[in-house]
Amino acid sequence: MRQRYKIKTFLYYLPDRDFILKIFPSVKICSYILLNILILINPYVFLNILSALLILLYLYLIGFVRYRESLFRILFISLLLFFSISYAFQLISVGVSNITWIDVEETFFFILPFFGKWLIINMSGLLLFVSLSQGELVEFLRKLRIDFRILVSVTIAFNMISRLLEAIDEMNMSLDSRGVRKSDLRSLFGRIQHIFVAMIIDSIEYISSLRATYAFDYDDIEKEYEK
Amino acid sequence: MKNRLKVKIKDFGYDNSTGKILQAVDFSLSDGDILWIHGCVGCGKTTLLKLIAGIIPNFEDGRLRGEILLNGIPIGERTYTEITFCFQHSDNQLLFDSIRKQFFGDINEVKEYIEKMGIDKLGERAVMDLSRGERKYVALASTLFKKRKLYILDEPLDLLDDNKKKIIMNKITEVSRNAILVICSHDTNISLIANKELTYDEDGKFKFDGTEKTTFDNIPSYILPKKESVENFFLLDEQEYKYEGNSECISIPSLSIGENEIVGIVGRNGCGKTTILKSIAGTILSKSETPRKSYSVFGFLSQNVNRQLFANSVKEELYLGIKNISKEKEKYGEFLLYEFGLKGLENTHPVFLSGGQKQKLILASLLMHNPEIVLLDELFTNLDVVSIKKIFFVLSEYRKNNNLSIILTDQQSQILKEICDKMIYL
Repeated sequence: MRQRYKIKTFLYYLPDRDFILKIFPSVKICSYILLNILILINPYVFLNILSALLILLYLYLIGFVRYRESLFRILFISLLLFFSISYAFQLISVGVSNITWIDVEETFFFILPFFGKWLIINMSGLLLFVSLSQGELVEFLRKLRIDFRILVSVTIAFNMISRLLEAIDEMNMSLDSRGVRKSDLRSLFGRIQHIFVAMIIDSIEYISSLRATYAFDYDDIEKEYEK
Repeated sequence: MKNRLKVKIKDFGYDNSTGKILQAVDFSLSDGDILWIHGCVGCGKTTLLKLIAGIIPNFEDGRLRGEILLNGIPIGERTYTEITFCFQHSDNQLLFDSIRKQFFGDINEVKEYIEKMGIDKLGERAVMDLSRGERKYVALASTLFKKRKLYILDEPLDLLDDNKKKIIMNKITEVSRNAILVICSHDTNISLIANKELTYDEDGKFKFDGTEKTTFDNIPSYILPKKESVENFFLLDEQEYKYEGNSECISIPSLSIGENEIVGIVGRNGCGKTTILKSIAGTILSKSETPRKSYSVFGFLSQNVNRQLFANSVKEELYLGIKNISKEKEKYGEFLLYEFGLKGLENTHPVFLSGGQKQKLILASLLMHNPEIVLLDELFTNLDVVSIKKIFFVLSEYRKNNNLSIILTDQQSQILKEICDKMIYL
């Protein structure tokens, strides 16, 4: 028998009793902020890449990579594009006709630190989102005495993440069952366009409902946050 | 002082269309009144509710001639805090991630209410981890918990199991003592508690009746002709799902479906009906465990219709994914549009269709791909009796020339029992 466990986080998957769940939310958020500051000032590029790979390994071991394969595929493509485009631009700036192997090597080592920083920012952000629930984040922000309207906006924005993930799954399923393939690049773009259109339609109704609910319940929401 | 709602609409139309959606709607209600609005798919029920709540024209555009007054005050910004609205897609109104936070008020009062409504049994799960029926129930319960003068409920009984329907209907009756309730529903159970009725007549107008109610002695009959079935056409392994904060597991039994078999899946909200369908469609199962049949033979109609509309017009949507439209396909497409009451709407953008029309359009589009298995999740949601009959007519016509296994989930077990070869009770 197959068993699956769902945990109440933004991205909804962590094994039960994982050590990361035991860390206080405020510690997680502060560590994330601290880590990002360190990344900006840290000159050791391989340390950044190594840390990013360790986080990736952790995400793999807890099964998150397999659970959200498409997300990691997109992330991998975007990182590859980031690296390739930066590399190409850097080489062009040297002058295409004068490129030597030394330029290629130097450019590689010039870009690597930026790439390393970008990689760790992505991975640590992902880890935070995987391991933190929306309620925990809002509670943390509330302790900082942030205005309730901002808290509501944060809540809605993060609700959108889980909602979008659910919507994309349903849309993909619907497109699959209606024979809309992703066999080549053209059909893949067509499919993305279809999903984009459906997202807009779905979001129009969602936003309109939310605006109305917010207006009807404004007083109650304000009181609730001020408790 | 008694609350009073006065609705006098000469006509109403959306900004982007020339036609009038509503004409000559005139009625008054006071405390203790429960108005039941019903009529065919696409007649403007939800539009009317949005007008009464002031969502149109304050949050959505439209041209209204007439007036809607709550205690003599025009519906608008000044009346917002006196109104509450439960949307048909109620997960759109759940602002917070946890169930408890959807209820505003004194902690003890909320705790007591949640226990009374049986919501505490859902545990500490996130709202997005609940099934659609459970989300609907939470949204309804939180709507009815608020102290308001006017409650507006769009299809409140949709997706709810029998037990939850009873609880909600009791709560509606309780709330109506000091407030006005306006309810739009295809579910005839509402007739048991409503004391006023607004019906969409054949002449295309809403008729208000304050004294008599429609009676439903005969449940209409839906029959799909039986076809010869091949055993074990499709097999699904036993599975188990568990959520954080909820000791209860969703257990899905192993399942075998025969070719041409019609299988009904019934069970309380959150028991795993949709999960079974998703497992069959191969989205939850890992690739190595996907069913032996490829996606091309699957048709999946899920609960949220807005997430299944991708094209710019009804016609484009119908032929979505079909590369070469043969004369035969075109003829069949015309037949589907006619039977589903979508003829004349070919160039309309699907976003302007009603919930029921969208549902029929998606089903029509699925049938254009000659599926061998259709998975219909809560098919009867959004649909009136006439539409359900039409769908069964179309499905039986399809089955005359094709093999088609149908797997349905719904709360209306009576209808399912009538049409299904096999029933699965979860």
